[in-house]
Amino acid sequence: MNILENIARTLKLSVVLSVMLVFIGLAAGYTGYPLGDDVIWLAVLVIILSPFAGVIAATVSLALEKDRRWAVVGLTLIIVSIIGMTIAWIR
Amino acid sequence: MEPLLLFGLVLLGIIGGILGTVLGVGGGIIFIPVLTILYGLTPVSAAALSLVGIITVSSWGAAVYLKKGVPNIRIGLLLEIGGVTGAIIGASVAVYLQDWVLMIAFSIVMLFSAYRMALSGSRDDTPENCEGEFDYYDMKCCETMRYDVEHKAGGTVGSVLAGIVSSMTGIGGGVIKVPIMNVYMKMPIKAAAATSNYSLGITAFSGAMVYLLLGAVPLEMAAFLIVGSAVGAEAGTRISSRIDASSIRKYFSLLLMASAVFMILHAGGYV
Repeated sequence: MNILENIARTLKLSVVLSVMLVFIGLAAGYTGYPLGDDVIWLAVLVIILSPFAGVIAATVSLALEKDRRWAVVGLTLIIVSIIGMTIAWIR
Repeated sequence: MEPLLLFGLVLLGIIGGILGTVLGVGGGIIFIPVLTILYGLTPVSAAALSLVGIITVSSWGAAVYLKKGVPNIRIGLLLEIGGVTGAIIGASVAVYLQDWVLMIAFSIVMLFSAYRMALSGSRDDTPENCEGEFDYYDMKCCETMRYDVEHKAGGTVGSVLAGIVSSMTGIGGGVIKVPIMNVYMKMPIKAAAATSNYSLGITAFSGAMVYLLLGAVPLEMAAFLIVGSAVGAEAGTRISSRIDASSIRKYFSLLLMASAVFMILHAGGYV
């Protein structure tokens, strides 16, 4: 499977998972189940993380194809993103 | 929130998803005016919610377009090192700015988007050379086009600005990224637009993550917008190959200009 197919599959899977969690969260919320908001928060987190999952899929695919130069670029992007998330988490 | 308003968000997501996918703009230019003017959200909440919608539209749309092989993933990853850095800076700064400053910033970006949209489609820079590090398959010409990319480091630095604008305003940074790639880095317009569409989500992700962790994303509204945006993006990818987007872009640019003027008046308290 090539790089583009790997990324496409990862992105679609993330969106489908997020939409499923939205429906579960809304159903739980409207039936009075206390964890409804938490499930929706998880759904939003999954959709927000989907492009990041795509970047990881791209980097792994590049590494597997032994395209070291661009795999390092992908790895740098992952590190920058993690630093950003850590800063936001600390604040 | 009223059920009618929540279902209005599904409709907004569908419209934003269709136009965002067809026009390659992510949907933020539709989400922001509606969320601030009609729903009365603060600019920070509107930007946070819009970024969630953009990610949904971009992720689903990119998944379809990636299979056609036009986006340049390698250049997209490189530029996003700058884009993500800028997005983190933008989202961190935005929460401290006054509402009117952000609304004026939205309006300026929308006017620039409208200007770019009105001009787009007027030039064809399909590469004629047979050599180059990168390639894509041009469905119109039915052949593989090869091209080189210049100023990679400079383009990455320029993408910091796109990231700042994207996360501060909630409007995708495509209006800045496409000219950087096409004019400065000499990428063909088709590859530049497709790469921008793919990378919109990556830029939006870091800004949205900051907003989510700061508690600025209205969760119930986000849930309805995600559903609508996913449906709209799927519909948009199906209809985009059957219609000519250039005429839609021109009419839509007029609507954008009107929205931008309305937002300036709204920021000044005149409406």
